[in-house]
Amino acid sequence: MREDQILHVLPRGVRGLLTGKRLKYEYLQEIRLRTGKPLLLIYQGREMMLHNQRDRPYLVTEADMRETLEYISNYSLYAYEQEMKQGFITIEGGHRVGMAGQVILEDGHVKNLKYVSSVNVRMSHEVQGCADRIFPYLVQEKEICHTLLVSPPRCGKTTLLRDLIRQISDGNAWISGRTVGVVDERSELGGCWRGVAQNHLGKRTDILDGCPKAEGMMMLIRSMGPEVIAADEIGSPEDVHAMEYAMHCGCRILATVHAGSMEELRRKPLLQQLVRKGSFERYVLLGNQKRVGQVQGIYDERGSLLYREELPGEQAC
Amino acid sequence: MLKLAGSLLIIGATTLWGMAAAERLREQYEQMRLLQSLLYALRSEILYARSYLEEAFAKIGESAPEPYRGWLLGMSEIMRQKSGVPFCQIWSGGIQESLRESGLEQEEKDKLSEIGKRLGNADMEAQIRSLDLYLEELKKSMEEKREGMKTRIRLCHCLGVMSGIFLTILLV
Repeated sequence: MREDQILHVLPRGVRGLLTGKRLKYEYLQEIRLRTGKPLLLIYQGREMMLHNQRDRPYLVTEADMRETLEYISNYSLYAYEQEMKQGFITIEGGHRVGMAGQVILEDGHVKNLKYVSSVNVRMSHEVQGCADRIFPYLVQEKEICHTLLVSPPRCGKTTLLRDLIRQISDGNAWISGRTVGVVDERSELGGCWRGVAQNHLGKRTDILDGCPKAEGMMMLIRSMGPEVIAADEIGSPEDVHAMEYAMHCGCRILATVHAGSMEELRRKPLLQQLVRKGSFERYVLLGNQKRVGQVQGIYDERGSLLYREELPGEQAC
Repeated sequence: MLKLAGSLLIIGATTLWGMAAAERLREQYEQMRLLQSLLYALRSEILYARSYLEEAFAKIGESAPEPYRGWLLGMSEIMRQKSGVPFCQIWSGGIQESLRESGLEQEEKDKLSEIGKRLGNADMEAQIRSLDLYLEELKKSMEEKREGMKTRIRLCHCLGVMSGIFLTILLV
């Protein structure tokens, strides 16, 4: 399945080479194509180069690039104007194909990409069960608490949020399944392709893909009647207001924010207010010194520490 | 007596032949009209629904009559397989194969093939403009055909009967 999804967007020449290699596609993380440069794979965390029949590194041609773009966009680049502006297209399977090249500007903003010279296919990556350890701390009286995941970049907060959404939606040992509304502004949580989430977000989850968070939350509250709303990377005043409105409507909120520590969080002007008001009942602090997804601490609204990950030899999340 | 029957048969045959020729003219016009409505539908799909070409062809092809149905659904299937053929080839190949028996003139088919080179690009406006340009030209061709049609149909009928009478006079 995964193999077909990936092979389908690659040029024929590359497809042949890859099938010859007999890779295990669950370990394939990235494929990088650059015009005129060797094709690179990131497999099991290590870089690999593909060699052609004459045992020279396979160099990506312009024709290869054009073919790749045709496949990624289903021969219809015009339908992907929004995605090209952001620099990536999500394909079936939730895999993200990033592009770089010459940018066309309009009024000083990126309108489109003209000549695409680099393509980076990043496989979607779900870790089901990574929220198991912290779940009990986020539940109070059989209800999920308003939770804020605080984390610096690349610490696994999106993966954790994804698993939390899935478990809340499906229900688990601590709570019964709830209707979850997800505002997936950057298409990272669901990896939606043609509107359908490619990642596992649960039986009772509704997703707004590519929608600005503030508007999205309002739309969900009005139309889908969610019991829990999830959004990734809140930061703007509109996001915060929408969240407060959602909380007043009785929805439980799951959100993430970029910050290195609770102190740093308290220094951010908008979030400072939220922290002081005690709107969020749980703060989960993530770090990545020992490993990605490390939970450094779970705090309640008064700042008391409820849980801290201490043992270094624990199973990787 | 036999001569009368024979002459009636000849006149009958040539009249029918005239009527068939007239019918063929009408058919050509009808095909152009069908093509026009299909392309308008494609234009809407691209402009308003932002559908992928594969999707648009499948949707329009479902409710289209043959041979257009076969053409559109066939193209949709080839595109789904992503076999490495560039789009303009899929488009013109489809026209050559599926629309051979469509009754469209070769000139029309050539003009249709040309559009294939402009579809699928990133620039939505350029695509729509090309489609609009083609639809304008198609409309003009259709009007010309319609004006000429009435006279030509009458001509065919007359010729049919006249040639019958002429042959009868010659042979009988």
